[in-house]
Amino acid sequence: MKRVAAVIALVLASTAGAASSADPGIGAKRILLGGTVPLSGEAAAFGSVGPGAKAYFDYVNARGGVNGRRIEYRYYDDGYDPQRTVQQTRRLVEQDKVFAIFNSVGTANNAAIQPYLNAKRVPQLFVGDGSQGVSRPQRFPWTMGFLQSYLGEGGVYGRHLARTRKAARLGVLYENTAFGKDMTRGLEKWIAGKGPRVVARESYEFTDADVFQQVDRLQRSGADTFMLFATPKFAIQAIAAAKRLAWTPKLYIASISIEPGIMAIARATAPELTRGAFSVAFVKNPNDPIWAKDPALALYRSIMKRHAPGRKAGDVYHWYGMTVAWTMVETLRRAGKTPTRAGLLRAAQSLDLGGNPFLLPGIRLKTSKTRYFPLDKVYLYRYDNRQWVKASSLLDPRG
Amino acid sequence: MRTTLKLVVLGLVGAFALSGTGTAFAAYTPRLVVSDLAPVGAVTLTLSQPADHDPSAKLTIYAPAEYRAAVVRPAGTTIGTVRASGTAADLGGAILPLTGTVQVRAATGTYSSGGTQVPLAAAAQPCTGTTTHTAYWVLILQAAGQTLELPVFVGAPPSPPPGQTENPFSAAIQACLPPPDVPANTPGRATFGFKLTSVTMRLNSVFRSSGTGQPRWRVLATPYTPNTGRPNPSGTVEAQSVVSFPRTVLLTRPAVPKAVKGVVTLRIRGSLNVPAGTIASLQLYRGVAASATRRAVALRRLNPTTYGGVYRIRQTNKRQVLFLKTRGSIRGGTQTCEATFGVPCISATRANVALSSNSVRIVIPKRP
Repeated sequence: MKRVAAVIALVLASTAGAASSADPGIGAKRILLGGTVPLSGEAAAFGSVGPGAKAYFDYVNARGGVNGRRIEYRYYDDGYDPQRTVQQTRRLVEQDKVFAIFNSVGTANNAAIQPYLNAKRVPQLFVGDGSQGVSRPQRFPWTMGFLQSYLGEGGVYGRHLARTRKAARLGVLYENTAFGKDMTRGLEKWIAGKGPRVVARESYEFTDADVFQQVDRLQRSGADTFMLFATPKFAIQAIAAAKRLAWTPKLYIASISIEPGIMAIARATAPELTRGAFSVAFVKNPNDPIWAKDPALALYRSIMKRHAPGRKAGDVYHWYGMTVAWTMVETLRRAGKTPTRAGLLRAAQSLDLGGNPFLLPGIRLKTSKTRYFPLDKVYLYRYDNRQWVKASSLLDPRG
Repeated sequence: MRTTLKLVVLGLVGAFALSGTGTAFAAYTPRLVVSDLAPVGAVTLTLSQPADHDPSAKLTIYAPAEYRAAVVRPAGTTIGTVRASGTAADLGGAILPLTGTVQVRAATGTYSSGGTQVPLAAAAQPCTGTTTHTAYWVLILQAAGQTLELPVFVGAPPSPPPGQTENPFSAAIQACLPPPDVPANTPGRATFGFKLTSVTMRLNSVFRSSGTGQPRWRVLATPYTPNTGRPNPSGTVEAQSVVSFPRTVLLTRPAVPKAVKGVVTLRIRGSLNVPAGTIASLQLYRGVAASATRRAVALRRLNPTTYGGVYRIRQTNKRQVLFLKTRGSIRGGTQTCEATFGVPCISATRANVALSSNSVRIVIPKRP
């Protein structure tokens, strides 16, 4: 009887081992990942996260891949339009038959595909979002973000203001999505009863043509501090509007809009506003001379040169793409020699990774079944109109 | 009196308010500055205009005959760099700084416009009236991860200017810009509603001067009629830039006399060959390498062809090997505008020129 049980166990074990072949997108020599990024449209500045991640996967492939499998990463343009995100994600899952969705960008975009992917039990991993809605393990266990919690980022600014500028009068411009709302909620939670107060709050829709009227109302509210919780295009519009209104408040700007190319436009438009602006950061900036001798920069440059020739190495969104791709590679390694979708999810739920060369020193990637924001720490940074300069020790961004 | 003053102030405020809100400005004053970085073999061309003036529709730069043009290169060759700046209407009027390269493309090649590849010939026809050009260049400009490409058509100038039988030019560089101030989603509108206000092209080994005379570069610039997307040929103007030659500075090796009280006094002498009245400054530089990067003392012009000064060096416990070099500049400024094309010539410039002499090696003996 024992022998029969052992045989059954062996059969089950071998069946479980062979389950990898049952999951789409994984073969003996290949793992197929897919995602959507805005290569066109209003948020095309984020688009470089796709080529950046792909370049890193190609680099890993050139060194034998993950457990002998090459990673093929297909990213499709969704123009930052959630409807197109749904279409392209369905195409990736149903036609291309990807193993997992990876690195898709945008709050509304990821929210739009979350129910579909969870219903199909397709991992939706390390997506470009930090909203509470997307990283909800109880309801959507197959979806995990990568960015720090927006609620927590707002909290970092709130704590900084409560400590340094107790009399601050805040004017908040936020995107009317979970991104902007979470940031604002985190800010308000941490300033409540501590001195700084929100004197005006204005939102914009992603379909708005301009935010001049909102910025005008914020200025007229008497705010002396501008909390800019906006994506790059609207952040630049807001800074241009403040310039036209001759408004020079203290500026806090959402970390998703501080890429050096974006800041170059902001600085050229209103240097008096950007000087001394605060934000949070978790990746090294390849343009910052402070990292000139860092091995990560040499690695990044060699990868860009070999696997993404012609693309701009100074674009931090490429660097961010590699940061996330590094995390995915390590997660795949931990998913076992014959990964399944369920195995990949289990690996993603139990990360405790140091050594991501693209992250700022001291930042680890930690997750659990209930903790779906991998970044455990961030830094507050200040802009000196040339570079972002570290302005704090490690801070907890989990809200 | 007080009422009159108040009315005048109100009127002025009203006028400024109108000028600030309206975009139909009907003013157009492009400016051209050309620098020849000889002996490096590079020429920089800078075109600029005030941000609130009418947007440019077409620009044609004429290289003077004193410059030999080598505009044909294999497709894909990068022949220079470009920096540009302008305002982006879609970004609330933010200033967009752009950087990039100038690349040669094949006549059968394409350029990227609004995410689609457009044959260069298709862009050339409406811009220049022909698809036949000696060379096709593309300015590849980047900002915030976005790439904008602008085709440039290069060739021999089509005909001598009115009233002239010989062509005083060696090449014409033509570009047409998309209109920035038409409603969003209008086909052919500039990306971001970008309005160019400044562009600097540095072209390497494309134009070589004879090194003599006062070659005069010209640009013929046509604006758009504001808010229509239609070029305004009657608004076409000419601007010019003069390059100053010759620009030779030589430094003679000074004799090293005996020191007096540990100080060696060097009599500095050199020769100059620059246009009369253009020298802005002359400085002696010193260093332990031939580049001589440390400023030592100011020099002065002694007569039209020579300059000099005195430089004192304190002896040390060690023998000193020093390199000396003269650096200076030719003053830029405005010039007389000489209309060439039968349209108003609105400005002529002369760029600042940096001068640099040969370096000489001297040895200062150690203190006895």
